[in-house]
Amino acid sequence: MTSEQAPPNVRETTPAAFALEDVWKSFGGVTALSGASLRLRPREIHALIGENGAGKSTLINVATGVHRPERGRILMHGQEVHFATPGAAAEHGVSVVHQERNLVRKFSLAENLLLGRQPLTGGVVSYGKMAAEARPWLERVGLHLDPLAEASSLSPGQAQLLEIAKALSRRCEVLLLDEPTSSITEAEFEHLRVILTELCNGGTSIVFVSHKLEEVYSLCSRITVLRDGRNILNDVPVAAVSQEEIVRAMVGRHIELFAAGGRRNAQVGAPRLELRGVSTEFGHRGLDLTVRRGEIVGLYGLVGAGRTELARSIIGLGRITGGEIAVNGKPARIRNPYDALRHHRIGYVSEDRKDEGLILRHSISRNVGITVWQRIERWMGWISDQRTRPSVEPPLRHLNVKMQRISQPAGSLSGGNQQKVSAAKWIAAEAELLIFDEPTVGIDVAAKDAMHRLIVELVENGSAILLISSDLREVVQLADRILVMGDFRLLAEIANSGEYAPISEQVMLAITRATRDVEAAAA
Amino acid sequence: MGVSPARLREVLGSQTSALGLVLLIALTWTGFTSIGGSGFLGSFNLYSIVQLAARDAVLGMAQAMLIVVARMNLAVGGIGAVCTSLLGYLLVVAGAPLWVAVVLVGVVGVLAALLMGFTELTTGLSSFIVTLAFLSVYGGAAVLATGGRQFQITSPELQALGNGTLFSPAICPLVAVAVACGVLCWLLYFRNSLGWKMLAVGANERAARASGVHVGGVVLAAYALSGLLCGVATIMNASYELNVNAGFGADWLLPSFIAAVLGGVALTGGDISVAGILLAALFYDSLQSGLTIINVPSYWIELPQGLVLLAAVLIDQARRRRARPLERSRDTEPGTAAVPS
Repeated sequence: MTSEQAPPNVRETTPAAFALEDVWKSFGGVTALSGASLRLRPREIHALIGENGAGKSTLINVATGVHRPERGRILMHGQEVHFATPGAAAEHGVSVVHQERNLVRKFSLAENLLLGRQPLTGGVVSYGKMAAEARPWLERVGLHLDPLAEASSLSPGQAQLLEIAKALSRRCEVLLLDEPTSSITEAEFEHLRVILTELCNGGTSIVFVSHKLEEVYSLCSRITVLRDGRNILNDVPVAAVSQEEIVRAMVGRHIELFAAGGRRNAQVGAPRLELRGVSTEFGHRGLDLTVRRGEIVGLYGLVGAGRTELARSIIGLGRITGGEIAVNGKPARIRNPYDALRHHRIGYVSEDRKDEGLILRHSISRNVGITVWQRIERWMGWISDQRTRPSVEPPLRHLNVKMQRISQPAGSLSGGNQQKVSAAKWIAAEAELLIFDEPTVGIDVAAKDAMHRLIVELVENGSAILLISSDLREVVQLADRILVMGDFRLLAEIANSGEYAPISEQVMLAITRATRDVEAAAA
Repeated sequence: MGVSPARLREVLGSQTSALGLVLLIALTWTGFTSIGGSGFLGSFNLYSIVQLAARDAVLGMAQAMLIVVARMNLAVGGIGAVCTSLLGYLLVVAGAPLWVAVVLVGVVGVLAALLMGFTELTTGLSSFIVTLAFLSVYGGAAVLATGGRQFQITSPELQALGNGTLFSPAICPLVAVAVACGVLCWLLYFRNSLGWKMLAVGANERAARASGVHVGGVVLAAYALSGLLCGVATIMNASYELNVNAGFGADWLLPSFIAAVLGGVALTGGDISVAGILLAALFYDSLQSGLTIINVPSYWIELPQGLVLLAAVLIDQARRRRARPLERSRDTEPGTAAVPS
């Protein structure tokens, strides 16, 4: 039902609430959009999908007046409109919530919501008035919180809702959500889904950008897929396309998505890493954990459960205050990541790709090579980029990193390719234990699949993996055992059968039981 | 298929500061010649420009060692005061052989800087505060220890280094020292894993640490090298001044920053331009000399010095702003190709 060619222009009788037609845009000779379209009916949630670099963000920027298109029209209810600035788009009722949060953390919820429009009494901001004005908008997105609470107290999911409330308070009719779910939990998504459906029934039309296809299926009625700035799927019902078809439209070729875990030919061997009664400066107490050679241990939990802090303590970025860590059966004292890498071959793929995973200004070659310089340098530290190539290029090629030159800055790569580079340095370092912290957040399906294949390949070659993820599907897909963490404690250990439904039930049970215990203890 | 435009831009972009400086120097020279007459380009004047520029280039490198790791050394002059006093004492009072004095000055320069490095790492204070404090400590200690006395250096080798000529009557042998330091710096940052790690730490300390770089060790090495270059600058300075005291170094801070920042070393760290430092020092001292030649009163000369530093910082900022889009590519990415095999 869909072809790879440009689909015929469908003329419909009812005008779309909002439409972009045949939009062209290029930046300094690089074409970002070549005839892209987006058609949004009243009261629909429309999925806008594409790989990183496909043109989604440019299209959103055109729709909200950030960029002026070179060609093409913007229509609202059949009338052509021109947005010279983002303000002009907002006046027409088109609002966007970006992937990067634009909240002032030190301000209250109400202040963030009404930023620049605070109600004044005699020239002075009136907090009472502000709270009263903000409350109905907060309630509408299900944030039943004190409007004068500080924004920094919000979870990522709640911050997302606050941004949506902010957009709604500007009387928006068309709401564009650019990857709203990249850092929120499954439970928070469920909440968001209910809110968005309500908004949609109330008359708002919503564009939903996401890399997670499950979300698209559960939320959206129609879908548009972009690739290389063109429409590959143009405004088709979600129910009419399969997941494979969407993926193929996105990446332009057929990719076999990686199947469930538990079917590997990895031999689980001796313990690579053991924590015995470990306590940390962050508040973990008496933790026991073992990761064996050839094994993927999933560490699941909600944001703030203490998973990243545990990983950081293991590699020496946080202090161990009690207990013992053993690597390959021998007690190990890891004071910093240098010790972890040099003496124990432990690597850490950070969740914070841009600030900790990569040096964005430096070349790809330097970013990957940084872990091996010490190993390959000659007398007095003599080294050259040429000398690092044999170590740096194979992992990049293996991970199929799309780049022009190995000397280009890592920051010029797309998110998925940046993540691959961030992992490639540990492949180059031949790490025997790798901690992946949220390895697939904010990257597209193809890159996600590549990361999954990489993780499995690593264990098949005898590495041990500790996989931290808030994506339970990912954990179920990959892990041999699943550890559930909550409030800096291990709540449960679950042998992974590879079946999502029963595992997710067990996981949620462990989390709710722990929460109840905490509440009971508090009462 | 030849050189792509992007690659060309990248190569040229990395050299813009050096090319710009060559132009600036040419402009300064022709400007002062037309205003102040041919005396500016006379071999006597060129000699003194080059003599000063050589020292200032080495000071610029001493500063750059710490700027590269996203720190700064406000105590270059303090270390200079300590090293100058030590050199004077060893040569004049103790009668030590020249090579012993030179080696000890280098060692003390390194130790003085390392002490600052340890202080920074153990207290977690910023290098700004630590080196500012040590500037006073070292400057004061040097004056106290020597009681403010003058040392008249008579070593013929040092005299030949600072006041002799090399190839032409317009060239001071100190140029060779500055160029040699420049070559070693280049080798450090472009062909040595320590230099690479210094650049990585400066560009993103968190990422460097998480990638297994021993950040503490790298930072200490940067301090040590900065101190060593301060020692070298001390010997260069003494070789043409000859009559030295503990007050030496008091005016080193400004030229060290101008040479480094105007030379194209990003104040945010993680970037270096050795040729830029050498050229910026030459520009700075040409400007100084030219202003003197056209009879600008000496108390006015500090004004253009300050303005040059301000301009250098503004240029640095503009450069960074231009570089930023690279880090934020979203949908605007150019077409991609596979890894070259």
